[in-house]
Amino acid sequence: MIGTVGSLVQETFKRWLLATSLYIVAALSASLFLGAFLGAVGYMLHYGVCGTAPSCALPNAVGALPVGLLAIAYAASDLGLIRLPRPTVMDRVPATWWQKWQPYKAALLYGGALGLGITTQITFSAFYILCAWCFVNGNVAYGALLMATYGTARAVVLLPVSWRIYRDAHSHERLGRLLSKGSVARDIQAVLLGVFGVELLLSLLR
Amino acid sequence: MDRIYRPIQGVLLLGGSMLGGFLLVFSAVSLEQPTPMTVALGLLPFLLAGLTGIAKTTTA
Repeated sequence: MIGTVGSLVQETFKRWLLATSLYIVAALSASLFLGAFLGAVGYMLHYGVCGTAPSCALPNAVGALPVGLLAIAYAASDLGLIRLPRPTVMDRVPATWWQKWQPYKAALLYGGALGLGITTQITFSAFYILCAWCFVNGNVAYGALLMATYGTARAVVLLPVSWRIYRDAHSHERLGRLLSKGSVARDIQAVLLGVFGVELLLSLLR
Repeated sequence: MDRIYRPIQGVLLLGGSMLGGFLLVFSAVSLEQPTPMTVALGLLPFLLAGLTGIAKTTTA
């Protein structure tokens, strides 16, 4: 998205700001909806099977154990130690949207599609664990808040980053430098994901 | 140009601090007997969500 919405900085400030704002709102709404949806499905599935007895309180060990194990496994996958599947609905969002509806409708569409997270390649597997955790918690508000955090962080960071990259010349080098930091970001995220998995498993032992 | 860029940085910093503070208080208050483990378990998913979202910026 930096290369599409971000490059509008080089046209006019107003166009860039409006398109980026639309992108942020759409991405945040889509992420929020995804989290709420997963929480609602988890809630209905769990209480539909288990009932409303106190012993059925969420999150429970039945859900937390696989999430903890998956978090550790996907952390290892992000570090390149093992290979795990990374299912997505689409490989990438169509570039033709930009040509067809530029810039405002396209920014809305890209925001909505990318906010869902599964419409493009998943480089950072913590996304799957976050979705699974929303489902296991079975709480609509918690799911919405957690995924909104993801959506906000993903979308809002576009403002300062695209501004820094495209405000003057040498934008290609700047963009290249940013993209080259992907592996470092993945390693940091993988370590944190592993810590989360271990902590989740340890909490079950208490 | 910095006149426009600096307020954006300020808003992001303030928003992030407020969200972090809210989550910290929310986690501590919502738990009956908060322990380092339960607080960390409450905060880690949000930290992970924020970091994953920011890290996505480094993908094309």
